[in-house]
Order: sequence, then structure tokens, then C-alpha cells
Amino acid sequence: MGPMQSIDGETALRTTAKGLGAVACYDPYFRRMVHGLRRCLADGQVVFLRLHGAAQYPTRNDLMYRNDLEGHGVLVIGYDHEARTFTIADPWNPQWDGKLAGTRSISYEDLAMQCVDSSKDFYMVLAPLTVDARINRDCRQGTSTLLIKVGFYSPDAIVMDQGDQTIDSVELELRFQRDMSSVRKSSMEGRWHVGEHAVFQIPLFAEDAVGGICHIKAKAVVSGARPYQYRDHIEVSVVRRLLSDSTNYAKPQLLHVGGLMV
Amino acid sequence: MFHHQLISPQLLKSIQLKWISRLDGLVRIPLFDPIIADRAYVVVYSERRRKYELISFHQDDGTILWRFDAKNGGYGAPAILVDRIIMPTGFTDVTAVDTSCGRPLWTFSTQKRVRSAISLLGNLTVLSSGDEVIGLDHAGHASFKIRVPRSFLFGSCAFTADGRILTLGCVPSPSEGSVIHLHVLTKDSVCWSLPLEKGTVASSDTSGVMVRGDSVFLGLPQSVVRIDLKKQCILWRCPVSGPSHRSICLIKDEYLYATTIDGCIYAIEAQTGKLIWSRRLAETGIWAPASISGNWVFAVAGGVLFCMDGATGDVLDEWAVGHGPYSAMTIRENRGLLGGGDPPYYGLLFGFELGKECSKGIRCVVERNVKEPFVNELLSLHVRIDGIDEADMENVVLDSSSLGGVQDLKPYRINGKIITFLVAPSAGRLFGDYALPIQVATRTQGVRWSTVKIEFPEGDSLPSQVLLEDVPIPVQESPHFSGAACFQAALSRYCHEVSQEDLRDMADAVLAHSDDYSPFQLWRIISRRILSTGACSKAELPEFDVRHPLKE
Repeated sequence: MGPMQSIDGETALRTTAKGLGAVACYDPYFRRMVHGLRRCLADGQVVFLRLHGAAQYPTRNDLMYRNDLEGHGVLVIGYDHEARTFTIADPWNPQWDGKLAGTRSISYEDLAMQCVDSSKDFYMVLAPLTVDARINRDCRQGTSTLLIKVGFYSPDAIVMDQGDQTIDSVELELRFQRDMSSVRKSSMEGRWHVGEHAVFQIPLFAEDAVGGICHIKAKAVVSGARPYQYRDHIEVSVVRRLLSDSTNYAKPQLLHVGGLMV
Repeated sequence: MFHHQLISPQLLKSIQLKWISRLDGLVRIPLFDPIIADRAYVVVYSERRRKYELISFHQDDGTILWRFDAKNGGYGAPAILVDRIIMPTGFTDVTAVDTSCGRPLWTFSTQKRVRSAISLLGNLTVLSSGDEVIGLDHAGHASFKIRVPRSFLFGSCAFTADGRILTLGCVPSPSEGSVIHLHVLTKDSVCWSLPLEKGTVASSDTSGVMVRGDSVFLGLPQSVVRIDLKKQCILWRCPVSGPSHRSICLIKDEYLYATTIDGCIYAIEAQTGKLIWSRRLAETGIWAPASISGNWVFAVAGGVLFCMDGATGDVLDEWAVGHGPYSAMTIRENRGLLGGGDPPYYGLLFGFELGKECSKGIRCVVERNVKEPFVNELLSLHVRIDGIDEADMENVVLDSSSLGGVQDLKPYRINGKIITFLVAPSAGRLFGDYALPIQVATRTQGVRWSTVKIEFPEGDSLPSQVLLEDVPIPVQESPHFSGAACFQAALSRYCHEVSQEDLRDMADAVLAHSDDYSPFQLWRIISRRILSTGACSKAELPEFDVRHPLKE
């Protein structure tokens, strides 16, 4: 099951993906790191980080020293700020030695000690590409445009390799609920970093009213420079109930506005 | 060894900021050269370049003399042995560098993780790696190795007068997970081990134990203890509020000083374990040991260097220095050195002058605190400059790079001693404490330095509790699949099913395909690559599929 997202407080719809637009953050300032983690979780994004392997994950041979070099990956899936704890999903198999398998709480202070190299490490937000879709109405002209923003998830954090990790092109496919057999396509090339978005403006027919359901598939070519130069495809498919709220674009970061093929 | 530079006998009455040097990384613990009077060194970790840069600089003004790019990785303060500085490198290695020119002399490689500061036993370099304590001779050859089976050793090694070696280690425990032990060794064998407290390893530059005669003093997750080395038992245990084993305890005269991750500093009577005073300096933690000069104790918390009366804990002075979780103030005579700034990219190295007489230097204060900012929103920062005559001020610039701004920001408006700067915090820097250097050019006293602290509050935009209940709970299929199991669960959350075996296989293949990346990066940079694909196996990745349309 994909994550259920509340749309307009009334409809829960699904996001599916092939590959992720994973964003790595790195912040040795621990208080800010905690804030960044909380922000990601509040946005519904699961976070990956590494704990020191060491003696907490024992094996019967020297494999534990090899694991210690790699670190022990866990998922952060929640927090309780009043209790100053994070909720960790630890993949360590419960049938093995050690006591840390499954879900548990870990205090901010213990996380600081156990996170690889204490306060000095990174975390990775395991988010798919983000897709935001809203209807923009022009009352004078009597027309409506569907604004779709595609980009990496943008954390409130210090992002690693921000200049090197990019979306280089986006192909969009839209299907509206009233006629699922009809596909509209649009595509765009550019260079979008974390915090930037490919913005599509799709003219809407009158029948595609506010409140209607739209299926959006975005296929992107992404590239990165570490550990070496690479390019690859990832995809995200979302189902969105269309909202009319152009005020959401009061502070747009419009770096590229694409052409359209309706 | 580093802790010798944390204590000075000189009595103090004042501390003044003499210079600031900008370094583009995480500034770690600076060390004075014990032989060359004006020389000092610091390791700066540059994430962008994946390098540990060892920098030699002039202690009086921060002028850089040479730089040496070492392989990234390794946690533990360096040590200086006559003409060479010896530092952990590459996570598993140790490298000696010529102090006169920065030329590498030798590198000794181990197979396991180094988590110890470098210690010196006569002419031997001593460190721990994984489950071994290793002694290296002047040429970097192993002189001795002692194995402590199933222990994960950490912290600097210390030595008794009769030549025994002490180290901390974590040992798996069926009942408690992981227990911190004190191990006492000779150069041939383990003499004895004492289990101390449930806890995990500490990877910092400055952890370790302090030896005084037949006693050893150390911090633990929940207490500070004194151990009798003859009787092999704990003499006293003083409870503390949070983990204290990240930083070595210091002893000056009859007092021991310990710092904790939850932001407290403790003064404890070394003989008895009686608590003399404690003070919570910041909720956000103290990441390094205290430093001591005569009657003053220093500790960095919440981006501020606190200068305290060692007898009472009263705060005597404060300086905004930012964050340097792998630094501590080192002291020699009337000089203090400290790393801070805004890691990982905007590090600062501070040079302080420690005065025997009262002295009032230049100070800068933000007139009112800054509100919760938005990205790139211009904020007015009103700074009052004290300790200098208005007529003597020639020029003032603010270094706003910690906020993502320019290094030499000119004033927007000057109204007497109130200088207004316009700053625009960039993304990721909208929350937290920041120390911004201010440089004042004067007509009569040359260039003077100060800092201002600004704080962006968190606001109430985040919920107090969150739990993502739809995330599948990962379970590893093999002991070295932790990352693969997590990624499988995260991908499965979006209906993309990939096996753990394939994810591990992809990660191994990408690591092998990379130049100069170590296993440390497997569940890190390497992982981001294997997640940025719709592929389900190594064979489908463009770099391994000769027919792939994106193959370059």
C-alpha cells in the first residue's frame, strides 16, 4: 500500500512510485538536525539514518565489525517532542542476538550518541518526487489552468550536494476521472535542484471542474554527481482531488515554466 | 595528547576575542605545537570535498602556513610527537604528517573502525581499532597489538605509571544489549575488564579516561565514576542527567569537571564524588569536554562559549561562537583556540587572548531578537557596538555566511553605535542559534573582532507528535542487510517492490564502481544512488546495462 494522503481534509488518495527522489541532509548542529527530522516526519516523509553498529547488533563472528564500518540503518517514523523522543523502526531481525528489533522510542540525547559519529552525520529523506496540482482560475477570461509542480521533496534542512542532484526532464501524463481513457501529455526539460520545481500549466476544459479527480503520472530523468556521475529514470503516480487555490502560489519559485501538449 | 591542552594553571580575569579565521568545513579540536611556540594545527572536515584537511596555522593571528588533504574519516583528536602530527584518517587508518611542511610520512591501515584519539606512550603512538589496541613505532610499524575479543573499543587510551594501558570498550550483553567496560591491558594481554554501565560507543574526538595515580575517572551514560585500579572496583559513582562519556572528564586540583549531552556541566569532588555544583548551560547539549585555566572553566553550549568560575559555576563571561561539536577550547599560556561557526560548511576558528588583568574589549549585541524568518526574507539586524569610541570606528562588516549570505556584509544604516545590517537567511537556516562575526576597523587600534548571536525560534508550526503508521516495519533477512531492509520498506510504501538481496547487490556494485568510496558510504551516498532509479536489480541500472538508453 502506498501512503494515504489527506486531500482537502476529506479524501484519502494513494501515491505510488518507481524509485525515490531521495534527499540527503547533513547537519552536525544537532538541535537543527532534530528540527529538520521533525519537519520531514510532519510532512509525512519517512527518514533513514544510521546508528553505530558496534556491540548493539552482535553476530557470532567478525561480521559485526564489518557492519560497524557500514553503520546500522534504521527508519525514523515518528516523534514525540514533549517526551523528546523519536520512534525508530529497527530492521534487526528479532530472532538474532541483541534487543533492538522492531519499533522503539529513542530519546533525542540517545540518538545523538548512537547516530553514526554522534552529532556529525546525515539523514536521508525517503520521499518520491513531489507533485502538487491546483486549479488557477482567471475570472476575467473565464478560463481555468491546472498548475502542476514536480520536484524533489524540499526539507527544512542543510541539503547535501544541492548543486549536483537534479531533475533534468519531466514527462507528465494526466487522466481525468470523467474520461480515464483520454490521456493528456506534457513534457519539459530543465535543471531543477532540491527546492525548485518544474511547473506545468495545463489549460482545463470546463468539464474538469474543481473537486474532480485527476490521475497524474510524472516520469523524470534525474542525475547526480556522487558517488559518480549518473542519470536514471524515476516515476511517481498520484491521484489528486483538484483544488482551486491560486493563492498557494503567492510565493512561487518559478524557475522554468513549460510548454504544453494538450 | 589532547587533554593536556585543555588545562592550564594560569589564573584569569578576562577573555578577549583576538582573531577569527574562516574555514569551509567542520572545525575540530585545535592543538598547539608543544615545541614550536607560535604554531598550531586543526583538522577541518569538508563534506563537499570528502577530505580531512589538516591545517597548520599561526596561533597569534590564524594565518595558514600549510594544508594537508587527508582521506576523510576517523574520530579522535590527533597527537603531536616531536616533529610529526599523527591523526586518524579514512575511518580505519592513522597517518603521520611532518609538522614543518605538511608532508605525509606514513599511514598505518587497520581493518576495523578507529574511534580513539591518538595517545603517546614514550615514542609509541597508541590507538584502538575495532577490538584491538595498537602501538606503532616512529616509522609507523606495529610494535604491539592486543586484542580484546568482542569489544568495540573507543576513547583515547591512557596509561598508568607502571605501563598498563587503559581503554573503554562496549561489549554485547544478552540482558542489556551493550555494556561499557573499562579494559586494563599490558602490551601483551588483557589484565582485567570491569563492566560499568549499559551504554553504547561514543565516536567523538575527545572521549576517554583520566588517570590520577591508582584511580581512573570517567563519564558514563548515567553517571561519573572513580575506579580503584588496585582493587578493580568502583570507589564512587555520581549520577548525572545525561550521557557523559562523549567527553573526557578533567581534573584540576580537587575538582573533576564533566559535561553531558543534555547540556549540563558538573563539578564533582574528585576524592569523594560529592557534587559541588552543576549547571544546565543549554538544552541543546554540550558536545565537548570543559577546558580549565586557573580559576576559570570553559564550556560551549547552545552556540555560546561560557566562561565560569570553577569554584561556583557562576558565569563570568560569554562569547557567541556557534557550533563545533568536535572541538573544545585548547589553552596555552595566554592563548585559547576553539572551533565553531555553522557546520558543515561555514566553520570558524577562534583565537582568544586570556588575560591576567581585567580588560574590556569590543562587544557586539543584537538590540532585539529576530522573529521567525522566511526563506530569503530580508531581516533588519540592529547591532550595538560597545567598548569602542564612535569616532574611532572606521568601517564595520558582518560575516553573514552562516545564514547563507555574504562574508563581508556592509551596514545598511549606521546610527551612532547602532549598526543595521540586512540579512536574508537561506533554506535550512530558518531555525537555531547563529554566531555572526563582526569585524571593526578602527583608526587607532587596527582591526577588532567580535561576534553576535542571533536566534531563530522554532515557532509552533510543527505538531508535537507524529507517527507514520503506514510505513512497513522492516525486518532484515541477513545481518548485513540493515539498509537494504529499510529501503525495501520505504519503496514498498509506494508499491515499488525490490528484494533486500537485490538492494544490497546494487549497493555493493555501485560501491565497487565508485572511485575512493569506503564501506562507510554504503548506507549513505551510495544508497542515494540506488534509490534514484526505477530499477529493481543491478543489471537494470544504466551504468551496468550496456543497452540502457541513459547509458553514457
